Amino acid sequence: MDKKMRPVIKASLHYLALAIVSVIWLIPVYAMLINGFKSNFEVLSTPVLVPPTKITFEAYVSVLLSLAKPLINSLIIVIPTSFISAFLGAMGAYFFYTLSYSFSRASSAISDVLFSLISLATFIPQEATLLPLTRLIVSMGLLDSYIGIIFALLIFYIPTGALLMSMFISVIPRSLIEAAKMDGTGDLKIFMKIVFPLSMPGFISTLIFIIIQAWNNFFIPLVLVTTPGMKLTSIAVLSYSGAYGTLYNDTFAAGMVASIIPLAIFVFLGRYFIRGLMALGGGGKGV
Amino acid sequence: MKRKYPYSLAKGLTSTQIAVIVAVIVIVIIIGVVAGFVLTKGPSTTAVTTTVTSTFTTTTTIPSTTTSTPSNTVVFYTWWGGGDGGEALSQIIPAVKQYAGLQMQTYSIPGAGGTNAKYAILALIQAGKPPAAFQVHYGPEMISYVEAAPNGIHTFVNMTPYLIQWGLLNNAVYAVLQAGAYNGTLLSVPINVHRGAVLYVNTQLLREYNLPFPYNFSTLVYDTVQLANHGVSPWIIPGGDGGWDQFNVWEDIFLYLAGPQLYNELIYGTLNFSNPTVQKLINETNYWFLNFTSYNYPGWQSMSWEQAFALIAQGKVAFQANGNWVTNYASYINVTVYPPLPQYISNSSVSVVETPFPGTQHYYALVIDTIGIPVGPQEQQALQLAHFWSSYQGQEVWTKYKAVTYYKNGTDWYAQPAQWYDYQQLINTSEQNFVYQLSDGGVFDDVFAQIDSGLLTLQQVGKVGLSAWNSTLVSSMQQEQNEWLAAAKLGLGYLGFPGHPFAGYYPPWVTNPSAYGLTNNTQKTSNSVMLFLLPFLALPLAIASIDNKYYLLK
Repeated sequence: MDKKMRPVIKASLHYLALAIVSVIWLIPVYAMLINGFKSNFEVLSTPVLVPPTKITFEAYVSVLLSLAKPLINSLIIVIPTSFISAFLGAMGAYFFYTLSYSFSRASSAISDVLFSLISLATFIPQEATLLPLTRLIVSMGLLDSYIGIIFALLIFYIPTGALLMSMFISVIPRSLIEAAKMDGTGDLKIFMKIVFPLSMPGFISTLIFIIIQAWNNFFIPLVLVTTPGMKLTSIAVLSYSGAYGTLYNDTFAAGMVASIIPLAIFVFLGRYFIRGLMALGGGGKGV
Repeated sequence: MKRKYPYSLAKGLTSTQIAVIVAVIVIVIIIGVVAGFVLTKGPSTTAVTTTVTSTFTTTTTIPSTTTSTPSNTVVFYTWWGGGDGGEALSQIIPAVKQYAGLQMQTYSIPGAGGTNAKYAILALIQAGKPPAAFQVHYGPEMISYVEAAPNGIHTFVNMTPYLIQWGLLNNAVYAVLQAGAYNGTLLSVPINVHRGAVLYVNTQLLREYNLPFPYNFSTLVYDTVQLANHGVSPWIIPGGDGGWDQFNVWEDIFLYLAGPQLYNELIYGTLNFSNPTVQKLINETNYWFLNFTSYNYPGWQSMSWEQAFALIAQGKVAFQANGNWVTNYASYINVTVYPPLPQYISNSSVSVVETPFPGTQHYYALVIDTIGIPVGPQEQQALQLAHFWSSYQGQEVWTKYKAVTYYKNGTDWYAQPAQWYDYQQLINTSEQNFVYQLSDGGVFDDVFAQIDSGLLTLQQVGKVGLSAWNSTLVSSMQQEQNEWLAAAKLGLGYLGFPGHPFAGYYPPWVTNPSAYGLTNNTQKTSNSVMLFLLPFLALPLAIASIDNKYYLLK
């Protein structure tokens, strides 16, 4: 084979593979989109990938009206949860990073152990904490409130933020931090002026990850929300699937509407997410 | 080589470091244990008993709390989202506001039988903030709530005295109440009755090939074979619901072959599998199950029952076995479902007919939706809601689009012609011919899951899977029996009232408790309220009907 042709063929194969993967990934989105435009009967009686014979906006209109409040509720919950989790997680990761080398072998060991425990917290199934968590929130008088749900989500997502940010912060050259310390700069200032700006791609990656996790979280709002007006999107979307009858066109339309916000966030901030992952691939190892 | 870090966990630790690590872990565990103990400590409860004079001439002792809040908003936890339940809810909400003065809000949580809602409800009860009311099936489903609740049976309002006071013991089909009474105690209020074990038939397809309507089992078999010979798929038994549709078919065949007595033994897990007659019946059921499933519509694996019904409505398939919620769901795709009466079967404009599964015409498989009420601050409002919903007037609004009512004196207010037929059959079925549909609350949740999975596998693999399926059936029935025995220890060991068990059947631990390690006082113990019951049963219908007009007069 001509040597000049090899890179062209190689690139073509790459793009072909990418195209196939992209199509596979787009099929569910396509199905969600078109089935929301079908009538009650057509959505049941036609294959899921066949476009509607007659487009109807009934499902989308109905879903938009009933999902408006859950979408607003989800935004009120998810935005502070994700920012607080990622930011406090970053601070925690920085603390453990400095602790791991600053003082002595003992402090390093403590850092490792404590951080392992915190990391372990990210693996605890939320269902296992159901009763104590509910009692805690009830005893604080925060049941069925925005603050209560945010607080409960923070319990799970701050460790997640710390774990993820530790991977990004550990690749920041230690000499920068040591130089600042030699100049008498305090840890908070070092974090705000040096560590945080340098780990910004990682912060945004962590932020996006937590946004998506919190947006899709089903179990915590299932238990801690007790009135329909406080319902979050993750619960509202599934409420179209009744035990004795699923409204498939409404379900598809609801799925589409509910995914628009996280999708938009990902589209606008996706490049930072990729950059963060690339930084991770470039040497991040964790605390 | 210089180490990157001054310390590495992989290189061994000094004794001081190990001590520090151990100390940290111990401290964390102690904090966790203390926090766990403090946070999971049961809430203190106070029970207050008052005597309430009912709106009519008799007095009933009714437990109640005095902590009710003035809020008129009642949140009802339900798994009805889309479909007939959603539509019926949209009808009942304004009626509740108009006649009971309550602002009813529905909190719909997906998951049939409350599979998801159960976690939320029980967690809130544990935390001392119970929801006002929640949806639950009759049959053993409520027992799982009682077993998990902090104060057991006392966590929920005992509805027996209320149902007596509201006149339901006189006006409702007695078997409906028996299906939700545990050793005489009713823990929820019925709001509608569905019928299981029904067959949906596309009559146009039968007419096209000049085939008889399947009034009996042998005709069903004949039609199946004939349709297949004409190249038409006779059956749709979808697999997308995880085996639930398969369970429907299997239990319907078993009901036809074995009758209600042995069917009800499956409810308790007491069917004697070593009995040759039973073995023969199980083998026959399995045979016909595999026979029908071999004629399934292509692509059945991923379809849901709703999609299956669309095939029936379109005339692509002739038969689907399910429950009559399909009839209500049909309204959403503008399909009218007719009863199996000659004038409809012969009518060329009729395409879909709902009929009792061939051979089970004289039996009635119940599936009953009810409202459970936890003891708590909103108990009184929830009782008001349940009172209206279960009243004759509430039933007229609710069951128009959802199942049928249990009132013995109902009229035809139904949206679908088949509903009226189901209602008439309900009030005319004799007590011993009722069963509780196994696949919709008739067995405990874990048993249900095992059977679903076993039958779906059997359909997929065919005859070679029979041995595994039989083994699954036997073990799941043992599990069912164990769970009933656990319920019996709580005094809830059978469905029905003392002296009047559901379908006339007592499980053996009631008749011979010592053989199961139970004491006599946990079985057939009469609910104290039941002392009032028998005189009430004898009261003229008219007295209770006064109560039913309560809301009409408001």
